[in-house]
Amino acid sequence: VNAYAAFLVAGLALVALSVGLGTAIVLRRWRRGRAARRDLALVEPFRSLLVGLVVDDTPDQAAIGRVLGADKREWRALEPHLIAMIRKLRGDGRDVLVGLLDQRGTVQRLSRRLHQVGAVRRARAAELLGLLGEHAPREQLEHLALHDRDPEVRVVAARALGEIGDPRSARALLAAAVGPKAVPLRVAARSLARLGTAAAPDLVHDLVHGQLAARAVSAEILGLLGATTASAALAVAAEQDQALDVQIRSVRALGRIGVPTALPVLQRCAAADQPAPMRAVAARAIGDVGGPIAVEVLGRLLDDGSHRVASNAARALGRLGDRALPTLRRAANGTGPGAKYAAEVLAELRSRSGRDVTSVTAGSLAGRP
Amino acid sequence: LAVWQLGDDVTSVLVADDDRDIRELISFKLQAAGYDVVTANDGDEALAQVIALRPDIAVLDVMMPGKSGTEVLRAVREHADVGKTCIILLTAKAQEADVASGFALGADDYVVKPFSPRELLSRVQAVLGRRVS
Repeated sequence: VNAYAAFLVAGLALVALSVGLGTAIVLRRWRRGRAARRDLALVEPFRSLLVGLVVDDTPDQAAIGRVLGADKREWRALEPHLIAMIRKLRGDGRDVLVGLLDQRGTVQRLSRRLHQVGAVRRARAAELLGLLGEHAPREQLEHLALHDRDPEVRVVAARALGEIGDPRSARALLAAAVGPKAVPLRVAARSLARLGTAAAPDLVHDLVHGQLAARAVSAEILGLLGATTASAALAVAAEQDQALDVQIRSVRALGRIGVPTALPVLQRCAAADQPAPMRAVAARAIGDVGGPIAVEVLGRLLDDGSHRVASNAARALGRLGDRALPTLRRAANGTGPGAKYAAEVLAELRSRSGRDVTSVTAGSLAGRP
Repeated sequence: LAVWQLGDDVTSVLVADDDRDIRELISFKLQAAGYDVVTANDGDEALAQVIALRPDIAVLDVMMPGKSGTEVLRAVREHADVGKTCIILLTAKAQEADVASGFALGADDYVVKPFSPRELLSRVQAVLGRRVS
């Protein structure tokens, strides 16, 4: 009997708990829905004002005054709406909305949140500040990206710096990529790539004077940015850096930048006395730079003893178009190590273009259709 | 479907996007520039509006409920009566791969989100200018 009573009590308690939990969930949803409807109603009178402010060439000062004069309840509903609109916009209209948030104190409030105890709050504040461009406290975000105790917050701060896009953040992002509390390299690299070529001088400085990881990241990003002004520094790094990783990344960057004056350096990097991984990347880079000399150099690399070098040379020739076809055809018909790679590339080109590229006409050699 | 007639003498534009903010921003900008604007919330409504109202140009979001922007584009280009409506696709950065297929289907231009209303107006004017010339 006792066991039955205990079982019954436990069952009833379970039912009561389930009903209580269910009620709490329903109540919570209802309250959220009511709050969302209330916020929508509060935002509604401001919608056309905000749209007007975004699209008008000269923003209406009266409308700005009305938005800035919103009372506390209205502003609490308006702020997320403004942030949502900012995410959808570029250009002058976006700047107007960001200016409203700044004037109403949102930037200061979010900046204070960067120092709060909760990591989620800090990360959320950093993410939102990233949307606010030049109004955001860049230096505070840089500090966060470098020193925050939570790795997720550091990542969000590094992303926010990329979103802001201020070239002055280049050094901090490089340091964030290599420091004791490093953010993942791809995060720092993506943010650095968003800073534009104005960040090139800082990246060149780190390419020359930085630690190993900083030199490697700088070389990679300079290539992604297409920073032609960094070609000379990259050429020196490609030939003289003490770390093979930095040399390889510099070679790749020179290919991406595509300055023809880099060809002699790339040729030397592809020479037989260089390590095979570097020669393989150099072969690809020579193809990226292109030009008549490239065909000749890559033709020689087709018969390289390293299959990676020969394969990359064949693929690079394949990207150079009709003028490289005779070289590929000769190699494919020969008995050298590059024969099979040249044949593969020709077959690929044939299937892509739907024409027989193994027979080259005088017209196609001259670049005519 | 809105019972609405586009004026004969004014250039007419259909704006289709499931995001109310974007619809309002584009409509307001184009109306201020003197265009007649009608809006649609999803792909099915957009296609129905194009067939019924035959606007001069349609701005279509690629990712909409119902028919996607590219599906509407394909349907419009296959429709003999409304095939000449110019079409601009609105696409998110991550959907830029769709742009190539959009051009292959006959889109006249595309605008990437986040977007600038002023730039979109310039693109609309350029597309219409090309059509006239």
